[in-house]
Amino acid sequence: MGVITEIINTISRVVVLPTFYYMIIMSAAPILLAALACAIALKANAINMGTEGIMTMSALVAVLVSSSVGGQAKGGPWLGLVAAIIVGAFLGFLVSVFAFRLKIDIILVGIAMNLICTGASVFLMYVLTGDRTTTTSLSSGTLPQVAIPLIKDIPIIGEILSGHYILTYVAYILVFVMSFLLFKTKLGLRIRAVGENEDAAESVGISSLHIKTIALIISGALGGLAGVFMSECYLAYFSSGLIAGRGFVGLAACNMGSGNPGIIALCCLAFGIFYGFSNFATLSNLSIYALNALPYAVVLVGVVIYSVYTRNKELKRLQGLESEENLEYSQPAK
Amino acid sequence: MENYLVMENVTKIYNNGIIANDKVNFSARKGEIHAICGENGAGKTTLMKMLFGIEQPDEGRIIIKGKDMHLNSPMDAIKAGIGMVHQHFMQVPTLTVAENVTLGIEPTNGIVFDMDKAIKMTTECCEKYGFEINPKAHVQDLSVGVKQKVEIVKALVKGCEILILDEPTAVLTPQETKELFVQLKNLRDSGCTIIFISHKLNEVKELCDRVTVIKKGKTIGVWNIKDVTEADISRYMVGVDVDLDIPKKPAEPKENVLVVKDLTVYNEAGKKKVDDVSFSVRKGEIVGIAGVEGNGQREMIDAITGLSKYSYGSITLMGKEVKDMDIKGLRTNGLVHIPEDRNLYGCARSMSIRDNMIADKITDPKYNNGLFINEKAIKEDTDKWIDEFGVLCDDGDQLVGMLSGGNVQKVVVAREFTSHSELVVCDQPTRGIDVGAAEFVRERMVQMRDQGKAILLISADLAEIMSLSDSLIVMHGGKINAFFKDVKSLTEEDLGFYMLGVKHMSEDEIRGALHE
Repeated sequence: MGVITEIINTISRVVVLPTFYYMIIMSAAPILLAALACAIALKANAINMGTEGIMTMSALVAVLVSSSVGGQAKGGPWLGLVAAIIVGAFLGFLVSVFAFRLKIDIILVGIAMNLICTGASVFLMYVLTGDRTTTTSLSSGTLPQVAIPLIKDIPIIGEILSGHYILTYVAYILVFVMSFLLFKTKLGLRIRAVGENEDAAESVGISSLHIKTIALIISGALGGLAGVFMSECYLAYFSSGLIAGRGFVGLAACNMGSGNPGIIALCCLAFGIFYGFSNFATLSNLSIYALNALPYAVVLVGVVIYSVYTRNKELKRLQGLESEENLEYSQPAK
Repeated sequence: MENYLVMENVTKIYNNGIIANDKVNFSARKGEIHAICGENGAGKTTLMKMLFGIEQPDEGRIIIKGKDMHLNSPMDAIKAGIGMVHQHFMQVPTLTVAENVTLGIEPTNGIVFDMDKAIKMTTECCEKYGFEINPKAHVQDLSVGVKQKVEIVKALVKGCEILILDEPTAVLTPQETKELFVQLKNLRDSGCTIIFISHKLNEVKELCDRVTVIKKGKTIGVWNIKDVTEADISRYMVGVDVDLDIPKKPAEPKENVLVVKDLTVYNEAGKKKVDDVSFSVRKGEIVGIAGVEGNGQREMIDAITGLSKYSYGSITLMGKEVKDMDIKGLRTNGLVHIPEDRNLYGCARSMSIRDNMIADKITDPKYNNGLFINEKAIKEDTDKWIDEFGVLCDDGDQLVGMLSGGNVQKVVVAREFTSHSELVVCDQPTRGIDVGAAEFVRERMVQMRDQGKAILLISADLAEIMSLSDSLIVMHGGKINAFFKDVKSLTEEDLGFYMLGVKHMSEDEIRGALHE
C-alpha cells in the first residue's frame, strides 16, 4: 500500500509543475526523430534496426567537429550538426549497400551497425580525448534555445512551449514534413509501393534498389539529427551510453504507428511522459532505478497492446471482405 | 494483314543449361487475340518474359512494327507498347486504384503527386475501353475480378498496344470470365493485340483468332482457330490425344476408412464455413467433392488433413478420432495428402527431389538407423521413384524449385503415393500442370483405388471429377447439396445446377453419402 500512496504522491507533486510538461516535449523529441528515421525505412520495407548505432556515431561526430572548430563561440555546434547529418546519411547508405547490394539480411546489418558504432564511438573518443566515458574535456557547446515571440509571454503555456532547443521544434515540424513526403509526393508513393509490393513496383519500371537506398539515406540523416539532439541539446557532451536505447524506443514507436508520422508523434509523446517522470526522481521517495526503467517498461506494454490491436483490426477487415464475397456468390448465377 | 510483332528464332538457355526456348518463332497481327498453348515447361512463360524484357534472349530477334527491339527491362517493353497482366497481380494493396494504375508514370505537380490528374487518367482510360472501376477504391478491398481489370487498365494507361495475359481466367469465376472475354474482344476491336496464354482449350477456342502451339521449347505451328478443334490443339500440345475417359473398372467399395459426422468448422474470423456435413469414404472407391470455390471445401479438407482445427462433429480415420492428432499421427494412421498449393505445402522448393521424396519416410528404420541416414537406400529408392513417376530431371539432387509445375507435382505425388496409406486426399491434383502429367496423376489415382485405398478427390476441373469419381458430393454454402451414388448418369449441366445452388437434393438423398 505504501508504494501506491507514494506513486500517487509523486504524480500529484509532478503534474502541477510546468517544467514537467516542458520535459515531456523535450524528452519525446529525440525519440521522435529516431522514430521518423525508422518510419521512412519501414515504409520502404527496409527496416532500419541500426538507428541506435547511427545516433551514437553521429552524436560523437557532432561533438568532435564542434570542438575542433572552436566550440560554441565559433558556431561549432552548427558545423557539428551538418557533419552528423552527413555521417548519419552515409551510415544509412552503408546499411543499404550491405543489405541490398551484398544481400545480407537487413536485420543483421542493423545489429552489426549498432555493435560497431557503440564500440567504435568509445574507441574514437578514447583515442581523441584520452577519456573512455565522456567528452566533457572538450568544449563542444550546444545548439541555441529559441524563445517564441508572443507565446513566451503567456503564463504557464509560455513556460511549456517556448524556450526549447531548436532541434526540438525541428523534430515536431518534421512530423508534418514526413507526412507530406510519404503521402503527397511521387517519391513517397514510390517508397510505399516498393515497401508493400516490390514486384509490382519493379514491373512498372521502378527500381526498388534505388528507392530503398534513398529511403535509408534519409533515414540515416534523421538518425543523425536524433544523435545531435542528444549530444548538443539534451547534454552538452557525448558519453558512452548516451543514447540509452532511444533508437530502439523510436523503432518501437515507429512500429506502433505503422510508420505513420502523426500516430508516431503521439506514441513518442506518450513515452515522453515517462521519460519526463524519470527526470523528477528527486521529488520522490520511489527508487530512482525503478523510475529510470519506467519508460522502457511502458514501451514493452505499449508494443504488446499495439500488436493485439492490429491483429484484431486485420481480422475485422478480413471478416468484412468475406461478407462482401458472400454477397457476390449469393447473387443468382445464371 | 501485316505482322505487328515478330519473334524470330528466339533461343533462351538458362544458366543451369535448360533450353527453355529453341529457335521459337511467334508472330502476332494488329487487332487479333492470339493464343499460346503448350504444356507446363514448354517455354510459354519464358517466351513472354523475353517479350516483356524480364529475360533477354540468347539468340534471335524481336521485331515490333518492323523495328528490331532490344528489351532489357520491363521499362523498355512498356515503352515499346507492351503490357503484361501477370498471373499474380502486380498491385500494391493499400494504395488506391488510381495510384496503382499510374505507378511508374505518376502525374506530378512539382514534387507533389497529382491525385486529381491520376484519377482523371484512370477514369478516361476506363471509359475509353468500357471498364467500370472506382479509381478511389483501395485495391485491397476489390474482388479478384476487379483487381484483374485494374491490372489491364494499368497496362492500357501506359499506351500498350500488345497486351500479354498469363492464364488470366485461372482465378476468375465463370461470370467474371465471361465479362473478361467481352472486354478483351472490345479491346481487340479497338486495335489492341492480345496474347492469351491458357490451358483451357475451350476458352482458347471461344476467344482467340489464332493459336500458336509450343512444345518442349519449339514452335509446333500456327493455326487459325476456326480450322482446328480443341482435340486438335491438345494433340499438337502433347502429341497424343488427351483421353479423359480414364479406363477404370467399377468400384468395389469395402469398409469405411474416413467417416465425417456432423462436421462444423468456423474460420479464423469466426464465420461458419462448413455446416453440419456428414459423409464417408470407403476402401476401394474414389469420392469426389465438387463445388464452386469458397463453399467450404477448403475448410473441410483442412480439418480432415489436420491443417486446421474444427469445432463440432467428428472425423474418424480408420476408427480413430483425429481431433487431437498432429500431422505425424494422421500420417501414421494412413492419411496421405496432395495439397492444393504444391509450392507452399507440397514441397520444399529449395531442397532436392531426393530430400522431398524421402521427407515423410525418414523415420523409417530402412532409411535411418537411429543415428545416421542410410544414403544408399535413399538413393536407390528415390531413383526408382523418379523413374517410376516419370519426373523429368537431371538427377535426384536437382532442386525441386528448378522443375516445372507438372514435374513438381509428380515429385509430390511420388512421395505421397509411396507412403503408407489408407486414405489419399487429392486436393486439385492436376491444377495448372500439363496435360500429360495430369493424365499420369489420374491413372495413378485409379491404380491406388484398385489397390484398395480410399480416395477423396477435390477438383475444380469438372471433366476430371466426373470421370474419376465413383460417387460424388456437391458442396454449396458449407453444406452438402447433393450426393450422387453413381456419377455415370450425371451430366455436366446438372452438376452445375447443384454447384450453383439452383437445385437441391432432399436430406434423405444426401444422407446416402454416409455409409454406416
